[in-house]
Amino acid sequence: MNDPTLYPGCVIPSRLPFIESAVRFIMDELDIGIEDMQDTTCCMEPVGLMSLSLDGWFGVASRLHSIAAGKTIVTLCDGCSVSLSECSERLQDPEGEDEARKILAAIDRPVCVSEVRGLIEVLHDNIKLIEKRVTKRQDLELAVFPGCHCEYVCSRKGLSANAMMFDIVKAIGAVPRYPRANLCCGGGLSMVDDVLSKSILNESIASFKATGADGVVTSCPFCFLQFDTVARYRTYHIAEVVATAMGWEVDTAKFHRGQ
Amino acid sequence: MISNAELTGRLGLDRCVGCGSCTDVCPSARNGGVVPDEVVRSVLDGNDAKDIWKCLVCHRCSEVCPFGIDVSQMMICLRNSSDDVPDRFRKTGKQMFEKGRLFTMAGRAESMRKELGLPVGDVDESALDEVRKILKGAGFDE
Repeated sequence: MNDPTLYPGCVIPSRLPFIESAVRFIMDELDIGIEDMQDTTCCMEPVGLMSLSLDGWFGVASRLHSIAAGKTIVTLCDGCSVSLSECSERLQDPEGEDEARKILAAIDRPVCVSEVRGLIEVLHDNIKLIEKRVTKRQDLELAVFPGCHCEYVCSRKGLSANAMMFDIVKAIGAVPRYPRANLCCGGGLSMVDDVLSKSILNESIASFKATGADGVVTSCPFCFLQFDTVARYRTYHIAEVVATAMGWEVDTAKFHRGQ
Repeated sequence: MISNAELTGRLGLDRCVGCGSCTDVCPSARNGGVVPDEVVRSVLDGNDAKDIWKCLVCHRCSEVCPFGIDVSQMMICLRNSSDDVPDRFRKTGKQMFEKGRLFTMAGRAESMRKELGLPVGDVDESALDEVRKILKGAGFDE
């Protein structure tokens, strides 16, 4: 990984900061020197903002690539992974690069393209070291649900988010369980069509329960909010369980609403 | 605004054979929402697409299309041309333009961050100025 720079996004810093804290602990434990990206804004995620303006999204995401200046962008939110990865692909096309140059000239920034890596990829790259650093094996059975966007970004790279997360869960001593495929948290339709959103959410929760697991583990903060805060189902973030297994001593119970 | 013909050309929608793979994996369709292959058909037939705002943009449709059609991108392009934007997304857009973030740092988040030893602060004014310039250039403020 080339000189990583951390892009935590909007949701985690402002709604679920314990996840950011867990990630910083893990990075320290793994001796991954990671600096914070400066002067950041929202990436214009795909569900709402990219849907409003593809041109606006491309300009804002290109600005973030310019700030990263070629360093590897490590994303914590899978919506950000989609937004910044798709921008990266477009910036590598000469037509896209030219378009970005014109947009960024207005704010006096150069065009740069960075590699984008999600948290799951970074954890999986370091799985042997994580396994070695586990001091508190997690006695949990966990339904594995990376989230739609994590699965999509990984599949475009020829990777399986499910398989990587399965490995990570095993590395910390927990037992992974597979719910059915093609689920979604329904968050994209919350406050748009609440009946439909709830039906999609309930379908996922029923599938997690059917695995007999103690709860669900996800890497997506939107999914976390849907499962934990809306459905009140026992939900873990992957960073939280990995950090706890590695000796992170933050009581996360107060950050959860799920039972 | 992109026409159906332009969209068909840009995304190669005419490769669709109506196999329904996109709809089979769609969580929205399974629960009574948008039907992706019907939307593709509507665009190909030059008709208005139904229920595009019931799409979750989960990209599962794009992952499974045997002809590599980016169905999800089609939904996003259609939404870009839509006059029927749901209130939630209008508010999100306004929030982005005004604050530069989907969520601002509420008092509760600030105290949690302090407790966890994390830095506190919202989007820097100069970053916000740059983003507003970009968004204005894209006609986003309209």
